[in-house]
Amino acid sequence: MSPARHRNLYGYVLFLLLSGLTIACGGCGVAIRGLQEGAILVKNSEVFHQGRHGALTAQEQEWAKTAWKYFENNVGPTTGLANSVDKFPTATMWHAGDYLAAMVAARELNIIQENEFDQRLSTLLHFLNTMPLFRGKVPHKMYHVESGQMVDYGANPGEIGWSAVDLGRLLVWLRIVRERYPRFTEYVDRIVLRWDFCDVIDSEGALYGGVNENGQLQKSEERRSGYQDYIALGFQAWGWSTARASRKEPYDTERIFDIAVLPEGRDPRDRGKSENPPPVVTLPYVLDGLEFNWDTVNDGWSLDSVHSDAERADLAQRIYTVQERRYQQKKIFTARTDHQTSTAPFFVYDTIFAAGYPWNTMADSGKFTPEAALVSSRAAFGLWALWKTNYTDSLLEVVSALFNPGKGWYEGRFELTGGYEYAVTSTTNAVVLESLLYKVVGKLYRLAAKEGYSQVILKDEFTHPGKCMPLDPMLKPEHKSEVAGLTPLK
Amino acid sequence: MQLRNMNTEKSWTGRLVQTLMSVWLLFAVAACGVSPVSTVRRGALRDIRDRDLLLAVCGPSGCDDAPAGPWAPSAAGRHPGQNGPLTPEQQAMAKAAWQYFENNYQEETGLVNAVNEYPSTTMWDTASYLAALVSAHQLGVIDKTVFDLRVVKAVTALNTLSLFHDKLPNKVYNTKTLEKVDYGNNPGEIGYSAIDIARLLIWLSIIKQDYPEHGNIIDRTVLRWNFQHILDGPGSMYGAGITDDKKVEYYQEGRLGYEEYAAKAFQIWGFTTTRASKPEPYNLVSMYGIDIPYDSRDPRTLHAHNYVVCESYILDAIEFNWDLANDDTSDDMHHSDSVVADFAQRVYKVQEARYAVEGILTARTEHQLDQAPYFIYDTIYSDGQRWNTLMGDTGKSYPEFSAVSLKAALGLWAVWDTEYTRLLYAATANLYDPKKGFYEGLYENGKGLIKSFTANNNGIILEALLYKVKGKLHRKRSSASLWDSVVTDEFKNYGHCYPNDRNCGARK
Repeated sequence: MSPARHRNLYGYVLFLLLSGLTIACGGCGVAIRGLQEGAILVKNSEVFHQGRHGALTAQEQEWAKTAWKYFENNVGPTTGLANSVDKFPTATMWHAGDYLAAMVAARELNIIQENEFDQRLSTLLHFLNTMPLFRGKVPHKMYHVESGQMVDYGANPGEIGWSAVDLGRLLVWLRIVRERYPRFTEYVDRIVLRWDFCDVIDSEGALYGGVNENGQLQKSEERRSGYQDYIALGFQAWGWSTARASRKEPYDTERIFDIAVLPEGRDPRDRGKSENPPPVVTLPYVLDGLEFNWDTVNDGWSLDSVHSDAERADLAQRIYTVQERRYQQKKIFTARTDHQTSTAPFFVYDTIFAAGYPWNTMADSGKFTPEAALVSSRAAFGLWALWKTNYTDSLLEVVSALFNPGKGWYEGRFELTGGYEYAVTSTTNAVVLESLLYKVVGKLYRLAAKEGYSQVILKDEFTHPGKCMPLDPMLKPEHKSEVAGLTPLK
Repeated sequence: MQLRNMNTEKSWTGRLVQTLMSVWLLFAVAACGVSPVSTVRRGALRDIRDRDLLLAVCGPSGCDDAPAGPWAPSAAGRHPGQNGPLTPEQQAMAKAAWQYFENNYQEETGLVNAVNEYPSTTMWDTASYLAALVSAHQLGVIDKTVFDLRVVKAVTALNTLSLFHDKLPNKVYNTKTLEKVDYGNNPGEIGYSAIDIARLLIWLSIIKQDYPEHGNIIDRTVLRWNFQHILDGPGSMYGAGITDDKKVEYYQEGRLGYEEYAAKAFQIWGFTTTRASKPEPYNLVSMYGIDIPYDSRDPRTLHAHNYVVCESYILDAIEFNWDLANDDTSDDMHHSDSVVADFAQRVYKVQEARYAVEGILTARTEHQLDQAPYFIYDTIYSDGQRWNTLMGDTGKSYPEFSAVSLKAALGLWAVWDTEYTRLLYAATANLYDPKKGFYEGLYENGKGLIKSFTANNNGIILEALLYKVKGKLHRKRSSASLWDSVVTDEFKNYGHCYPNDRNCGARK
């Protein structure tokens, strides 16, 4: 039994003792009310939960409604997809995941009713079950929200490839929806069973993205520090082994304010021209916390105060602590993650560590853009939900006014000037909703422990669709000889 | 939630290692009084944090008051690293290195080309020439007649060349005409380098101490200079350059390693270098479990790179024994500049560790190339990247030009007597052309020798050989000094911002 589990036992004992004591001492109405409050206090405490837990305050409920406003404004009626950025009609699979998260949160926080939820979800599931696929195999990088066509970054029709990272987040949320709402299990499973994963995952459990340039497909392993761990969970939740993608090595140890963080240790000169060394940012660790509580994917029952994958919990704790420490020592409010910008370069890695430098902010090209550094709204909300500390209280104060009630939450507040980054995005608003839902229900990924449609299909070798799905014999290491005409030795 | 596993080294295995280390520490401390501790086991590198390592070898209060560091020879040496007379093989090495200076000597001016057959030099390379001259004489390669004539001619050149803004030597001179030139050898002033001038000050001082008969002309040279802009009140060093619109621009010069080494040069001439002598601001980067200090001034905004290389640490050992600048009394087995001694040890250790782990022979510093871009900073760490090989002005990476630098390899060998430096010595000691001198280096990628010959490479190799024979090269000896008499006379100390010039309120 882990030490953390012991602590929970102490918690139970403490609770019993406390209640016993209260009854023994009082025995009247006051004592009973005291007992109730005490019980709620203990029930919501970190004995049972990570970070914040409890019902939303009226203000928090308003915050959630504001975030949901984004999705009210930005959903395409036929595809059911939500825009990635306010009024910009393209979406990736990452954003489809965002929208699923937002939908679940809005329903469970009672912002929308069952009927609306069912309609929105069903429209999206229908699209995911019918949308065109990249080379007929995997979801394309980007779709037009109005027409449902595969498009490039400029929203012009074209096939540019796929992203395992985006796919990973969608797989996470498809799985969460499937487990939370058993009536949709079959339709969700059909979406995943339709795809072909042979280019996405290999027998070693490595994940690949693909770029299509002038008809030439370039496959490359997607290893973006932190995100890689998180997206691997999406694949694991559906039954794949992600041995290689989940491995931490190779990593470097970088000490910032005496906290070791572990960025990927590959020599940046060995990578392609367009690639940056994987940045260390907050979001993947926060998503992992909110959605999986840093548990192993088959851990569907442990208390939220226990993290059954201690290594991931530890890495996330470092990400939090190093930012808190920067505030304590340098008095700079810090909640950093990659984010959108409203002017060029439109997207920056606003990091804890990247490309050799702590607190680096850079464009995809590697250009140093310190002026784009933000106190990121989504990072602040995530940290606030997962760590109940004075620091996250003040972080949330810093971002608490950063919204337009008619549009949703802004991307953040500029670190160097205090001004607003007015970009409004799907991910920020989804993470705000996720964080608030987390406060109410805790860990979002809950196992239904029931056999579903995909399990039936996959466990039978005659119905198994192949396509490198879990349990596919093709995923086993191949022994095929490379030399034509030779039969392999038995 | 508590921090779990925040310090992985604090796990029980870590504790066990620590306990074992402390037992070893006790043993080591006890052993220190009896016999020097032998060299550190290489296999242990991966497991043991270097701080524990230093602690174990040097005693709990660090290396400054320990009787011996891990670099101490097992035999009774007087100073760290190699000790004793040159072998015939090393005598031949000294001769070959000196040959460079014979070939590139410019009769008209008395200076020596910095790069083979190219008539240009800097103050740094001129210092390397003076180092070569002193070493060649003291190692018996040249006799006193040659030495005296060469010293007088070189110092005469320094005393007559035209200064940048009439204050300090220009960055570059034409060795044939003594004209101020730019890096393309076109006439014109381009500014001065505090680091280059500092190294020249060290070697002028060494000649002055070892050969008081030349003290007078050396003091005249230095008295000619004006130190108004090169140091500021808080003791930072400044270089000068010319901007695109032809204005003079002064900028803080020197990064961790070179900065502290150069500051010692000013200190031995009596200047105060409070800020330059501090190791701060620095950060640590962990490489093979060894914390490597690097300058934390940001190369993305300041356009000066924060190279970690061995050169300054080797020179600081050879010339100053990692002592404080004006420490002329301590035993050479003590290093009164304990910070530099510790940093140097890390810079050595990480190269040894790279060989132990990766099998790549490593001795890195700035060096010449026999192809464009001709000069490269071949570093342990720079601009955020480990083992970065980059160009000075653009910061562009050239991993294909990484090399075992010969001055670095033989410098490491001179200062550390270990299994690894013996390997470095074996790999590099014969890489010279008796008619031209030592080659610049050996490419790491196996593409052969860097077919360049330079004053700096051959000069540092010569002083490394001299270090083997006599240890610390800069030792103050008391003798009458024109410099001292001027600096201590408040009426003569006027207008040049010499040390303690009370009228130099307008420093920088």
